[in-house]
Amino acid sequence: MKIAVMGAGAIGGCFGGLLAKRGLDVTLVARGDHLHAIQQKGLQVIHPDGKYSIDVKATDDPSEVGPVDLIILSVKTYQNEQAIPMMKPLIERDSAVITLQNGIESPAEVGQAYGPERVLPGVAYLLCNIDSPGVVRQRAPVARMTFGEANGNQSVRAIELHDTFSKAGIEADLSEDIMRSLWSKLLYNTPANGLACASRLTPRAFFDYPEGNALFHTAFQEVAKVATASGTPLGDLDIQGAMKLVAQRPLDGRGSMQTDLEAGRPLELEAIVGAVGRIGRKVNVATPLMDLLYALLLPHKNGHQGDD
Amino acid sequence: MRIAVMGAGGVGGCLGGLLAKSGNDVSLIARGEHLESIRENGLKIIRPGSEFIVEVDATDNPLEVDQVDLILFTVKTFQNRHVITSLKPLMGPNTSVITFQNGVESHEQLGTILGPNNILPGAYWASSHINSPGVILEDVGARISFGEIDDTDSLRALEIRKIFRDAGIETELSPDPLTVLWEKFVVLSALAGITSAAQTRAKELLQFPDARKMFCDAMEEALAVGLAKGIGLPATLVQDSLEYIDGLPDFQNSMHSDYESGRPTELEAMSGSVIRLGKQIGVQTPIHNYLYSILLPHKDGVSEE
Repeated sequence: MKIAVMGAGAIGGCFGGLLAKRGLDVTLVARGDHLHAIQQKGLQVIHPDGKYSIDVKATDDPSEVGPVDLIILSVKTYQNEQAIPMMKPLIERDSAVITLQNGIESPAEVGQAYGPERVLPGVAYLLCNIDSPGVVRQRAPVARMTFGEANGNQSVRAIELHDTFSKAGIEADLSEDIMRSLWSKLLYNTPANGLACASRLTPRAFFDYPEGNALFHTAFQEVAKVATASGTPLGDLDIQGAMKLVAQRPLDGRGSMQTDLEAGRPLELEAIVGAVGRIGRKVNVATPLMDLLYALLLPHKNGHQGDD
Repeated sequence: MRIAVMGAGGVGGCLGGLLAKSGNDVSLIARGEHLESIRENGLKIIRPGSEFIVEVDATDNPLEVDQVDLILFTVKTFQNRHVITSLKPLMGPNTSVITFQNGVESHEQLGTILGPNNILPGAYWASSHINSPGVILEDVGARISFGEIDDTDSLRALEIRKIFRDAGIETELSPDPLTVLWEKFVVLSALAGITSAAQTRAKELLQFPDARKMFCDAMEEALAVGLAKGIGLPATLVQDSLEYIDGLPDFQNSMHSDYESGRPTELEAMSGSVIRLGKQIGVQTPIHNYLYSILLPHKDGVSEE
């Protein structure tokens, strides 16, 4: 199987690294210093159990790769606009695309460009980050993901991909309701990141204030209502589960968007917060708290690097 | 006139300094390094286009001041409950108290303890702050408005206006000071809340249509509370205020500045007050509720790590 990873950041690097380590024909598509470091020294992965280095192909030009069987799309969502058109040389008749990104809009964006039948939406569950150029750090011992056909079919290709991932040591779950998995992650991710960014506290620290706790509950309700109205029913049990997830977070654990905000980097504001309000308007669900959080964070959306 | 200024920060220091310079007997009540510096070197005021140093009495103990004709009450609102009672010894039979503070509840808090008839609500427009201990920097010339709650041109109000004007302070005597307070409050409560939570100044933030809408919605909430309380606010206040803010040069409101620096904020007198008064009178204030909850954890400041 020939695989290209579009966006070899933390998520793409960890999953791509595991697949390459298993001996699959993997090419990482990356940029800048990170790309140069991988080309020179291979991809270094720091794992809770130790370090390993993989000699994996890397390029910034997909036309050098040619058509592949599988593309894993793992760029930041605000890079989709550039990255999706760049994927063209990778695509032939049977190429499949798994999206491993925040938010729920990426599968549709890829589908619009290359046909919805190619796309298998996915969700990554993996705490990881880029330590330095060429070095990714996997913080959980097991790399987990869920993916599936948008229509829920246990297709031959999906079963094959699942088999491939399992053999590479990835704990992959082949879902029959993948949009539910995407919405479930967003249900948690939107309030955790939106409220943490606005309050300048970690999600758990804000949650521990009674007023913060109430706002988390309101935020979860807004996301759940939008999910439900757009065809993925999320209810009180899901909200309770999300509340519990925040309550169990470490006090100093930051959301990914919060880490970006503090570092002055661009934010996945559209995918993580804006999407809920946008989709809510389409299905006539009011999202006043999401709309406020979105408005408050807009000035920081493009980052502040290079500002005075 | 014998005048005490409770809280000699940006507002109180500036007004007190100007009144002292024009010959009034002024006592500043201040604290810490600022107080030490005023005692040693006098109070320095840097105004647009001029600066001066004035010798003025300063103390941290109101008991040393004795009775006065006029008190300017200019502490931050979160200090009100600690300091109002300490003013009792300064109150004579004819002492007037003008509040120059943010929010709309201070005159009632002072009235309860110092006598409602002695209080004249005031409002202050300017930008001034303590630049360094003993030095007040005024970016925009002070403009004040105050008046009697019961809408009379009282002799005392006219007298006080004269001493302010003689001191070079642009002063208006308002027949309806509560409406003036509320007009300022509707704008400032919304602006302080959204700029602090967005950590972005008005000039930049209001370029975003989504943020403009939030600002307007938050003003509408405070306006609805004011109207329900019977305050004579104009129906065009939100639109007028938006244009007013758009017309100002880049500036940072004091709560945003306090929030950014990790100092205690006047959140209770801003969104907190909109919410409290809204509840009392049955007006919903969802945006202010959200802003309040978001900003509450840092209300008392952030201790330096």
